Amino acid sequence: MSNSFEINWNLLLPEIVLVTAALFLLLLGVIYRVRAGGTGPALAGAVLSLAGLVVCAFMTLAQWDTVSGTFHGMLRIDPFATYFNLLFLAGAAAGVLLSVREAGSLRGVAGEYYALLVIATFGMMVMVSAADLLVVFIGLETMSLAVYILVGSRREKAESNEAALKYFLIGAFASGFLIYGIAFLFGATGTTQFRGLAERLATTDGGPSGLQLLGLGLVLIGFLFKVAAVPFHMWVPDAYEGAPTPITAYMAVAVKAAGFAVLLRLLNVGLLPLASYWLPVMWTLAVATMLVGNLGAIFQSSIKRMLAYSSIAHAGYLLVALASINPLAANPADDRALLAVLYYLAIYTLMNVGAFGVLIYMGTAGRPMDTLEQVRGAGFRYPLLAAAMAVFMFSLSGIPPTGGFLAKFYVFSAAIDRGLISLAIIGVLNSAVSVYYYLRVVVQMYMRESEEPLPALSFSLPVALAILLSAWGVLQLGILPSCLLDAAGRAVQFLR
Amino acid sequence: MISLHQLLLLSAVLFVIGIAGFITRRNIIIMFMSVELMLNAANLALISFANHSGSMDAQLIALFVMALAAAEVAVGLAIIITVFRNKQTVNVDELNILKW
Amino acid sequence: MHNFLAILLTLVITAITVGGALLLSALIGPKSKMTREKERPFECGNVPFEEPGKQFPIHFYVVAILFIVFDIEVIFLYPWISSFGTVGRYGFAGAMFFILILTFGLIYEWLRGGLEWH
Repeated sequence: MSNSFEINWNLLLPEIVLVTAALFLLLLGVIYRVRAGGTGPALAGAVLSLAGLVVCAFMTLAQWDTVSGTFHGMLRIDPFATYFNLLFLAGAAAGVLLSVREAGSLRGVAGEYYALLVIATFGMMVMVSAADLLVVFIGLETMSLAVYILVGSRREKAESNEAALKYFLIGAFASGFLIYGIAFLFGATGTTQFRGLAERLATTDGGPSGLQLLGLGLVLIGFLFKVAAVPFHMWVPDAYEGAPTPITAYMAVAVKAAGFAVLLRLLNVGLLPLASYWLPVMWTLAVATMLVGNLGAIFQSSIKRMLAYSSIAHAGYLLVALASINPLAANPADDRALLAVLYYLAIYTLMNVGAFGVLIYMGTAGRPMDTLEQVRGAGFRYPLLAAAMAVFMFSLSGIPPTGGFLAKFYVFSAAIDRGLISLAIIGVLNSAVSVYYYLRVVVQMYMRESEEPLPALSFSLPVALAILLSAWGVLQLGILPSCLLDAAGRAVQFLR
Repeated sequence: MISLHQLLLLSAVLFVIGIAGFITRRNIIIMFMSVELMLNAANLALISFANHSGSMDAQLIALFVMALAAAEVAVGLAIIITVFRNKQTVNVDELNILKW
Repeated sequence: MHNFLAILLTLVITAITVGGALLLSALIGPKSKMTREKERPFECGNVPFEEPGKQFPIHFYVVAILFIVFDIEVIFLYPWISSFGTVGRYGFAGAMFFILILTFGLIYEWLRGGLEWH
C-alpha cells in the first residue's frame, strides 16, 4: 500500500471547483455582511454560485469520454456519473435562478444559503461517482445535511422550521437503516466496493445468505426513503410544502435524481447478483407508490402540496422502470429500462423547475401563490406564464407532444418488453388518473374568473429565464428526443 | 471471549430499541437520541465484523459514521433550537401547521 | 531508556507550556479581589432563588454545537497517527490539508460571531 498513493486529481477538478466556490461563498457571507446591507450580498452570492456551477459544468462536460477510477477504486468517473453530474448542476443552477427573487428575505445569510446549495450539489456528485458504499454514505450525508438546513432556511417562519425538523428526523432515521445495511453487507461479503460486492455475491454457494438479504433490504430502505417511495414517503408533502419554494424545486429535481442515480448504480453493479430478489420488491413498491401518490394528489387544494404528491407518483413511474431492468442484458445500453430512467429524470427536472418557477413568478412578497383558487383567471391576466404552466402540466400528466409523454412511453414500453404487462397497465391507469389533477390547474387558470383582481407582477429575469429554458427543453426533447437518448445510451454503456 | 454472534445480537437489540424509541416517543430530543442509538448499533456491528475478519476497512467506516453522526447532531440540534424558539415545544404532536 | 526519552520530552514541554501560560496570565492578567459576594455559597445549601434551568442564554447551545463538530472531527487524525510510519509525506500532506479545512471552519465561525459570548 505504501507506494500506491497516486491519485488522479484531474478527475476531481469539477468537485474541487465546487467546493472552492462554496468556501468563497461562506467567506462572502461573512465579509460582505459587515460592510454593506441590502440586497448586495444576495446578488453577489447568486452570481458567484452560478459562476461556480457553470465552470464546474464545463469541466464535467470535458470528462464526457472519461472512464476511470480514482482514490483506489473508491470513486469511478464514467459517462453515467457525468450525465447525472450535469443534471445535478442544471438543477442547482435552476435553484439559484429561482432563489434570486426571494433571497432578499434571507437577511444576512444569503452567502450561506448559496454555499449550502453548492455543497449539496457537491454531495450528489460524490454520491453518483461513488464505487464504494462508504463513499455513497458520505456523499448522501453531505447532500442531506445541507438540504435539511436549506429547508429550514426561513428561520422566522414556523412552517419552514417544522418542515426542516420532520425532514431531518425522517432522513436521519433512514440513514440509520442505510448504515446498518452497509454493515451487514460488509459482514456478509467482507468488502464495501461495488465490484467486489458483486463478485462475492455471485459466487456464494447455495443462494444468498440471510445476512446478505438483510443487508440488501436495509440498504434499499435507506435509499427508498430518499427517493420518496411508498411506504417511506410520509415526509414528502410536509417537507415540500414548508420549504421555501426554490428549495422545494431543488429537492424535487436534484435530490430525487441523486437518489435514483445511486440506486441505479448500486442495483446494477453491486447488487446485480441479487436481482431476482429486488426486482419483485421494486414491482410491489412501484404499484403502491403510484397509487398513493396519485390518489393523494387528487384531494389537495395547495398546488405545492399537489406537486409533492405528484413527485411521489413520479417516483412510482421510475420504480416501474427499475422493476423492468433486465439483469442479464449483455450490453446495458440495450436495456430500455435504464435508458428510460435517465431520460425520465432529465425531463422530470425540466418540468418541475418550470412548474415551481411559474408558482414563484406568480407570487408576490405579501401573497405567495399556493392554492388553486389563487390561480383563477391567471390565463387572462398573465397569458405567457399561464401558457408555460399549461405546458408543464401537460408534460407532467404525459400528454404529447411534450417530453413527459415520451418519458412515460419509454418506461411503460420497457415494462412491456420484459413481460410486465399488468404493471404497465396499472401505470397507464394511474397516469390517466393524474390527468385530472394536473389539468384542474389549467382549468382554473383559463375557465374560472378571479374574485379579486390579480396584482401586477414585477419582471424577474432569472426566474423568467429558468421558466423559458425549461419550457423550451420540455417541448424540444418531447419532439426530438434523440440527442438526449444518445447521451443516456452512452451513459449506461459503462454502467455494469 | 465474546463471539461475533453475541455482538451482532447486541447490536440488533440496540437497533430495534432505536427504532421502537423513534416510533413511540413524541419528544423530539428522545426521537433524535433513538436515531443516534441506531447509528451506534450499526457501528457496533461494523467493528464486530472488522474484528472477526481482521480487516481495517470496517473500522474506518465506523470512524466516518461517528464523524457524520456528529455533523448530524450539530445540524439536528440547531434545527430543534430554531423550532423551540418559534413554538416553545419539543413535542412532535404539537408541530401541526403542516398536516403530518 | 532511549525509547522513553520522547515521552519525557513531551511531559516537560507540556509542563512548560501549561505552567508558562498560567504564570503569564497570573503576572499580566487583570487581578481579581475577593469580595463578600464571591465568598457567598452559590445556591449550595441555600434555597434557590428561582427554578434552575429556566433561562439559558441561547448562545450556550451554539457554542456547544460548534464544540461537538470540532471535537469529533479529530477522530480522523487517529488513523493517521496509527499509520504515521507507513503513509509518509503524502499522508502528512493529507492530514495538514484536513486541518487546514477545519481551520477554515474555525475562521468562518469566528468572523460570523459564533464565539462571542453575549
